[in-house]
Amino acid sequence: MNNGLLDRQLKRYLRNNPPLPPEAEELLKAVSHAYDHYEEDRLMLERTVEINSIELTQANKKLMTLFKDLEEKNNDLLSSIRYAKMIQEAILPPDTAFRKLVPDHFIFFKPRDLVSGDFYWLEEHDGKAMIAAVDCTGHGVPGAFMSIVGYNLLTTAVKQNQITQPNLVLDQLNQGVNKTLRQNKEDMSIKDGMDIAFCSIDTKAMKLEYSGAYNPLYHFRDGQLMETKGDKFPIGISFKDNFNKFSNHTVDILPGDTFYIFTDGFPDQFGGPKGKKFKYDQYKSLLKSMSSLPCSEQLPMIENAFNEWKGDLLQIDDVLVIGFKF
Amino acid sequence: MKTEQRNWSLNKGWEQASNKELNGSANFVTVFGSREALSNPERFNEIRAFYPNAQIMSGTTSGEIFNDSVFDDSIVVSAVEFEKTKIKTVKVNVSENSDSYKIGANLAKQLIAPDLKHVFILSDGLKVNGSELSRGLNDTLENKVTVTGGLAGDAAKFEKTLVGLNEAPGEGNIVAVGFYGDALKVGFGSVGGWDVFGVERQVTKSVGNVLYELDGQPALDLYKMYLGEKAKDLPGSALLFPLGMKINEDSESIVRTVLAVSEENKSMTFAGDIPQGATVRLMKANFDKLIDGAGNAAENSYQSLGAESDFAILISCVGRKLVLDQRIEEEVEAVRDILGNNPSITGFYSYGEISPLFSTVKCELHNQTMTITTFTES
Repeated sequence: MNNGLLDRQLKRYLRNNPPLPPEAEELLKAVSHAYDHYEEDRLMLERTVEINSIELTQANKKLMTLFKDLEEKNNDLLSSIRYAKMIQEAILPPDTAFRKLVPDHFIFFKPRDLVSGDFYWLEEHDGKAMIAAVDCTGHGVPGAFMSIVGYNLLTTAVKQNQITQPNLVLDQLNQGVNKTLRQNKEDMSIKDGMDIAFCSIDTKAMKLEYSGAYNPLYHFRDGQLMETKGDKFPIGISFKDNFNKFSNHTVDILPGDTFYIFTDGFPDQFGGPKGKKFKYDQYKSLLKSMSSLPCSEQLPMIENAFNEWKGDLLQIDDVLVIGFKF
Repeated sequence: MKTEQRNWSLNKGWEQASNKELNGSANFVTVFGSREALSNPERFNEIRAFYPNAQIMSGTTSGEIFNDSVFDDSIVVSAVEFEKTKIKTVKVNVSENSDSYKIGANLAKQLIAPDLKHVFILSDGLKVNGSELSRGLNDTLENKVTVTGGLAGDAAKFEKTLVGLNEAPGEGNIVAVGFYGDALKVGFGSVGGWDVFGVERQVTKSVGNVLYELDGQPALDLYKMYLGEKAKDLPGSALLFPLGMKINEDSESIVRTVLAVSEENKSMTFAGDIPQGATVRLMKANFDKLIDGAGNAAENSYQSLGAESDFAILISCVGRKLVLDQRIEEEVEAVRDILGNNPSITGFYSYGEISPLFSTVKCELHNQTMTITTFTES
């Protein structure tokens, strides 16, 4: 039996149903088969489009639901982190406290995320101002958790245990981090710690004591940089009975001297015309160029320098620079 | 290198397609034919009488390719006289070892020699996991040895395939032919031309080449939904919707087609592995792309040979034949346009094709492709 369309065409164009040669019968059979095939293909294609549309609509709905769920979860997380930011900001010393102890100062603090692994710390004890610039491992939420650990241990060492000599404060901080995070040889799962620059300033005696884990102290006098390097080991990530001892450095302060303590966020920031790191040579030149100015004028300069260097690139780490001038 | 060709049909018997008379000088003969035609042992005896000194490799098909034509229910024979190339043939049967990987490794071990250049595989189409067979060959042969071939067919019936070496073909056989010597040049190309469509699905339950579930739902139900009335023609009708599969995000997409279905456990057996965790998308035919794909496979084989060929074996998937139907010869003509008039062309419609992709020398099982192997001697 021929395809319906072919029969219709034969009826229309060969009205008298003339006898056909055997080859033409074979040809008509092939044409009929082709018509059938194309009709089947068309039906299959229509069916495919219909089912596929249903499937895609279902997949789209599923995606929308997932997206909504994720959006809600994201909002919950964001509001949690925003609240955590408020808590973290609350532990940072207020500017009034700084102004009282080191009147000419600036703090350039630019966290990468809402909450930060960098933090600064200030205490007064026995007439001395103790200032720290701390860089905890990582950034964001894990960094912020570490910063709370660091803040508590620093405050305990100075206020509760009455330790004021910077290297001894760092020794205690080192042991405290180790104990808090249960770091030992058997379990190496938590390898977090912190780098720090810690100063104790005696403005009466015009002496500054410094101790550091990696992070140095920059001291500018008459435009010349005197760098005191930190010890080459971090706070934390060491094992019981094998604690490194931090060294202590004392520097005389003369009027006009400017000091900087900081974390590595600024020098490590990628940017500039070639997207490279800022690096320490350029960083030292920048600080040198502004070290003679009052700190109130230095803050906008360092802020601009950072933003210009970074340009449209992402900030890769938290940034903290503290400057103080006598 | 000389070739001669002849074909057999029920109506006309044997017909000589070329004037050359190789007879006793032919050392390699390919025989591709329908199951009905090749099941008669008389046919093999006649072929043996034509070529008394040749290694004769035979396999059943889902259609025979003979120069620019495609036949059904026929036998196509190509006899080759390699003048500088040595040939070694080996055969195993799945009754000796059902592990397809081990079969591949075993065949390769029997053929290995320092001057081994190329291996051609002709395998049973229903009793062998083509992916594992390819892996066994790959892991045993040196990288410099290329492998091509295919899985025998059985029209669109998926009942029984036959493969033979120097005797009438039988079930469960896998034949490998090793070609030796630097004089031989071999080219290859394998291209599909199908379009993926619809949502991406994950393979959530599978064992080897048996697929049970996609996205937690029986895979067979999905196929039935898409096939509608044509579901009654499973497994053949599943060829209309092959699977485009990616093992991981970065891997190249491989095409898989169905060989068998089980209503009992709602499973589908494919010609090659469908690993759990892989992602798949259904594919559909696009006439022009299928024909262009055949041309591209010829282009790749032409370029990888680096010379004009004397002999070409075309292995094309039965799924392409079902879709292209009366237009099937267009894909063979597209190949001829690229390869030129010189080579004798033979081949068959298969249940799976084995070839490296153009960019690599490791072979892999493919489905729904036109896979071409070209030969010449320098």
